[in-house]
Parts: sequence; C-alpha cells; structure tokens
Amino acid sequence: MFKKILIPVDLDYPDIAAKAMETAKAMARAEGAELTVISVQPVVIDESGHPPPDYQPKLDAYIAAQGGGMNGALRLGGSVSAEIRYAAEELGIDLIVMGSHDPHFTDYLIGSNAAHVALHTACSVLVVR
Amino acid sequence: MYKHILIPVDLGDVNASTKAAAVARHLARRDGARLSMVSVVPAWPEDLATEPHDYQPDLDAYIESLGSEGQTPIAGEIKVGGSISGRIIETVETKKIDLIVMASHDPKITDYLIGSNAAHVVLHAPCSVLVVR
Repeated sequence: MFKKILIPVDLDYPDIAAKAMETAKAMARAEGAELTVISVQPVVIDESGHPPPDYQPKLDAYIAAQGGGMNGALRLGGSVSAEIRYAAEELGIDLIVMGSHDPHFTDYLIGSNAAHVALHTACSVLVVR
Repeated sequence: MYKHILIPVDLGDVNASTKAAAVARHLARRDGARLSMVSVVPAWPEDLATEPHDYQPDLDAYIESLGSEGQTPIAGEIKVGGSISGRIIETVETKKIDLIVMASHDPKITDYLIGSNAAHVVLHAPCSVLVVR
C-alpha cells in the first residue's frame, strides 16, 4: 500500500524520533517499502567564517545504529517543515512517519514542525503517539 | 502493530473517506486489528419542526457499500451532538483505539489542506493518527 516511507529525524536529538522510527521500520517491513531518513539542518550564518558542521557522518552513524537498510537524505534550509515537504515531493514519498511531540510539551501536543507537515503536505502522514 | 483502528466518517460526504477506509482495511487485515467507524451528527435538524433523523441506517449502508468479502468487519457507531473532534477523541478513549485513519480534507478546499475537524484530531488525539491523502 505504501512504497516509499520518509522519517524526519533531528540528528542532535535522535531519541525524540525513537518511537516513530520503530513504527516506520515495522511499517516498511510489513509493506515491503523503502525507508528514507531525512534530517534538515538550518543554514547557519557564522560570523567567524567557519563552515557549518557536516552532518553526513552523524546521519551515517545514526542509520548504522538503526541496523541499516535505509536511505539517508540531508537538507539545508530555513524551514524544517517546508524542507520535509519538498523532499517528500522530490523523492516520490507516499507516507511520512513522524513523532508527535516536542520534548518540552506533553505527549498529546504535536510539535510545530510535525503539525505543519501533517496539515500541509501532499502525501499521507502518520503521527505516532 | 495496531489492535483497534477507528475511521471517522462525514456522512454528508462519504466519498471523501473511501481511500481512508481502504487504507484502514488494509492495515486491519495486515495486523489482525478490529475496525470501527464513527460518525458525529448534529443533535438537532436545521429545521427544528422536523423529527431528528436516524443516521444509523445511513452509516450501515455506507459500510455495506464498501464490500465485506474477505474483509475485516466494520462496527459503525453514530454519536449525536457535540463537537466533531471532541466526540472522535472521546471514542478513542472509550474504545481503546490505537490508530485513527482519516481523510485529510474538506472537499471544498484544496487537497493539501486539512479540514478543521481533522486538524484538531491530528493535533490533540491521544493515539496515533494516519492522515490519508
């Protein structure tokens, strides 16, 4: 039913996505779908002139820790939710799996990026609680 | 993965829910889950002189129209009155629902946008929610 599943992960706080990742893996297995991890990093303007940190090794390590078998996508952008939506369209994603909450709020509340993706994306979205 | 899946349906626009119902049935069959459908209807007709309409046969007819061969049966329930999203969330609690599968849109708006009731359910439901587009 679903062929290409996308899961957004904040590589600085990957534990937030732990439950969504378990769901995404189970869903991909059950559906025979391809799973892609996406991480959106803000474009940082650094006055010191240092290049922004390279998240590719972090993403590779995260995927390895999840047992591999999934694609990784890194995006730079100003808006996390917009980058997730653009990537979903470019990659032909038919399901986005995401956790519901910012860690600072209660579980029932949904994070602002998650809310924006759930409400405005063009593909199906599973909000995991 | 899931044990009891709920499909909220707007009886005024059942076609909007056809895809969500198909996805819910697929997941229910895959996971061996129970399937329930709920429709929240107004407590009073617009014309107060008429008798309140009984929506249960309408819901049962819609469920029947989805076909039943080799499929998980769907238990349909009408909730009369109250806020649509509030009564859906109440149903989640009383029936111990672990996944809501629902359509994303009011048909009058574009597909990408989500209806206000659906949005409220996505943001505030205590269980997982799959928005089908």
